[in-house]
Amino acid sequence: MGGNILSPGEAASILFGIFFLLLVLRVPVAVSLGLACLPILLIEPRLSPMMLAQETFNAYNSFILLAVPFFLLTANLMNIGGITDRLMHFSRTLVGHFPGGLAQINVVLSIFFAGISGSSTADAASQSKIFIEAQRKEGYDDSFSVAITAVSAVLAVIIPPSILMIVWGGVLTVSIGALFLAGIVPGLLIGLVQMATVHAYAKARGYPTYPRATLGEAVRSFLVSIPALTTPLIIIGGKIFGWFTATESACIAVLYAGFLSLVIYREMDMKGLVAALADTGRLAGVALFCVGTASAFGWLLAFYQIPQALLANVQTWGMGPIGVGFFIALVFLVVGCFLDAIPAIIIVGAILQPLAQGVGMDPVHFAMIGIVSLAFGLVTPPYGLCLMIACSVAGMRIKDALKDTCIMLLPMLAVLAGIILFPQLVLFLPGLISPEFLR
Amino acid sequence: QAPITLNGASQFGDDHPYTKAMIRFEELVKRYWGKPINFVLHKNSSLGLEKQYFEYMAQGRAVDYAVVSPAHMSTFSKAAPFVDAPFIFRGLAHWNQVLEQDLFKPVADEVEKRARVAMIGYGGGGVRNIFFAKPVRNLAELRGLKVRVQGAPIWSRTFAAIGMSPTVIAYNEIYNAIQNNVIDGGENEAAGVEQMRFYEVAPQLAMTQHAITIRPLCFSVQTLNRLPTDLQAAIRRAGREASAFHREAESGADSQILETLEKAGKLHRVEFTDRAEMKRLVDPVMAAYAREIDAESILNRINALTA
Amino acid sequence: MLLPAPGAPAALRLLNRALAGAILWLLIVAVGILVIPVSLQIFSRYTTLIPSYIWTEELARFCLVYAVMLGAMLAVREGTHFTVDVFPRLTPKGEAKVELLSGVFILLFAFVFLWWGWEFTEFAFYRISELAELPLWLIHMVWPVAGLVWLLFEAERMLDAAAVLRSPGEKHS
Ligand code: NA
Ligand code: NA
Repeated sequence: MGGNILSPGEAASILFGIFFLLLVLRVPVAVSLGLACLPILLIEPRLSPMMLAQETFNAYNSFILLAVPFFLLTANLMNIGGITDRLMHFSRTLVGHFPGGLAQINVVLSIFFAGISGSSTADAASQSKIFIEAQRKEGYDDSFSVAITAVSAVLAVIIPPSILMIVWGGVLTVSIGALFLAGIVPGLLIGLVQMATVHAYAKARGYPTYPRATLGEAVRSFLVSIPALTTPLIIIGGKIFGWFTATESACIAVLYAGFLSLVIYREMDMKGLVAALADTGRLAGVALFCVGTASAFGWLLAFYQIPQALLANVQTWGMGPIGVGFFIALVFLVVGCFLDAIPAIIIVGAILQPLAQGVGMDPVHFAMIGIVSLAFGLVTPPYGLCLMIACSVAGMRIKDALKDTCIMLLPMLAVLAGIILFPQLVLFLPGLISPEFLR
Repeated sequence: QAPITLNGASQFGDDHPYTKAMIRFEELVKRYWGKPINFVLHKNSSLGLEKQYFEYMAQGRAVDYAVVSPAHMSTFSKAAPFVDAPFIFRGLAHWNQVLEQDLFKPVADEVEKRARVAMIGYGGGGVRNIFFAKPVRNLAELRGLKVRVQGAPIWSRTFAAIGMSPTVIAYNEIYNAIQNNVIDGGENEAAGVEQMRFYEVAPQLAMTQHAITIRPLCFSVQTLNRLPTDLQAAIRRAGREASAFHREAESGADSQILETLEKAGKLHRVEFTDRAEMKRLVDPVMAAYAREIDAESILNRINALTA
Repeated sequence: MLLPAPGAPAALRLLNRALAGAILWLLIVAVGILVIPVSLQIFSRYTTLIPSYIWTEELARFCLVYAVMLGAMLAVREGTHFTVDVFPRLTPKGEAKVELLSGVFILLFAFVFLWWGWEFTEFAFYRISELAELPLWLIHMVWPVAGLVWLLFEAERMLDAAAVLRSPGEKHS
């Protein structure tokens, strides 16, 4: 009935020590996270390995996570039902003549998807299905394709709607409306630097450019694509007119994509449908299983109050607002390497909040620094869910995509620095449209 | 020997009445027991949500005490959500009387038997109202509106009986759902409205006062049984008193929060004129529900109170 | 013409193939069903033809739990769980060694899910879910089942890897 047997320091070294050791031995990430918890659950009399089951169950038993398999299934149906092919052909007639045209579409489509989807996991998985194979066919390097697909997927949680903003707003009592507005400018800026990055790569590596399509060709492919092009319209329209919530809109996307594939384009049969369901289940299982053991790992960090212990003395350092901003970004970038973003917000966000308040940082500004940093964590190994998904779809090793990912992250980090240095980048829109949201 | 350490959990930060009640509980235990004891309170949902705290207390692991909504105990005892059901209380005075006379003891006993979690005090006192984007004053204006309710059968049944269209949506999707007109409104106490900033999207608060919350302070029976008897007594006493403090704090803070929001122009309280008629529509549903969960006698005794 | 399969015994191979087939079909059903409760939830708001059920949200969540766990079971057989691979490209024998080494830890993890997953299931006996009023142990049951299935799947993989190590020369590719 005494206190914990392990000190926070001991618990942290067991957790991280075993996690890294097992990763090196090529034990799957999800298993490594779970086994890292095991000794602690056995040692502490008030804990039990049954919590591994309990915490993974709690993680999967979430309505918000449903959007992930739904968006995955939508993409699978689009691929199998012939929708993707028609959209590809149409897009090529539009921007094929830019350097690295297909990769540019990859980024632009992510910006657009981000306005529909609030989940980067779903975006990474669906766009990996669409773009990696297509880019491979057109002669792009695999590592480049994987990297650009993964880093552009992070836009889904920066541009509204965003699961992370909803979680952050709920946990730290920040206006979700303000967060949504605040995410627009940083999201577009990051998209822009990604397009510039693609341009630079395409120039350097001579990625393909297509001859400009004739007007007739463009019109023809546009007409064929109209039913497919209305998918985002239905989702956006549904949100504007209030037909369904964010999670539900993912389900609508499934129904519509299924309808097109079965009834309009008629390229999908029963066999194709079953294949799409199986594929969705396989990838959702792998991607979401990780989230469960990562949650258990994070739960133990919280139980020992390890983040508190690490950050206890920060307030005595006497940092100014900019120093605090960079510090917060650094903490979330590091945390994002090991934890899923949602547990990271719950565990670390509340601890950093007093620090931000102490230097008079606007809560919306603080939130955006955190959310953008955590979004980058989706592509930073060892626990970089979007990168793992893209690699898995491409059949690549993370190690081989790492260099291009890091190069692409550099200009994105510059945008993050810009957000820290110029709070107006995030506060401008909320201040303009609904100043009452800001404190 | 190391001093006894107890672990608590709260979904909220220091300013929330639940957290304050638990901190008061810790202080009172220390005072009444008089020997060294440590409390570790895990705040801001760091150990999960109330439902999970309850499961951990039931297992006798990780969490020893927490304030938990009775709705989260329903997997152990079907009768538990009855404690917090809508339209039971006529007002704060009635609510106070029910708690003073401990009329929910049979439910608490069942929960303790099945889940091995003791309710050592009844906190709460938040009055729940329905928030909309437009003013809603009476039953006619309420009819057919899509309102998000808590995921327990009694909530959707009573709201349907009133003529609303109860909708089940995840708690963290309410804000967006109202903003996008997926639903017309939701219902919550003042602390929840403030915490989740529902007033940003639904500033018209129809004062239906359809429920007054009860939030028991729970303690794991397995942990409790392992403690020295004088400490057990101190915990029971401190639980009662901390919860009384919680009730007073929350029912007081409730109107204060609304007043502050109203003064800042963020929220408007809209008088609801048909509360009695609404209660009349719900009564048969409540009676049927009480029959279903064997809580008829409790309901009759509650209704018989004079306050 | 059947050659004697090296590595895992034929019975285990057969059992696992049947198991994987069953799991795949359950997975397909779980993902397919996922769409139904959520669609009901949406359309019931717009037409009185579809009654507004309150269990839709819970049923969808439980299908998700099943889908994730079933998908995770298959991923062990197919070796598709995400890894962070820091080794250089290895020879087939090297690959087999790594498979055996990491396999030990997967077996341990599977045992944890089997043993304590059973305790987790016991904890759910006599409890019903909040909305759909389903027996909760039906959901918790997936944890020990996953543990058991992983033990079988990983055993086959490891026996095959051991066979590669035993085999002379570098014929395998
Ligand atoms: Na993309
Ligand atoms: Na988004």
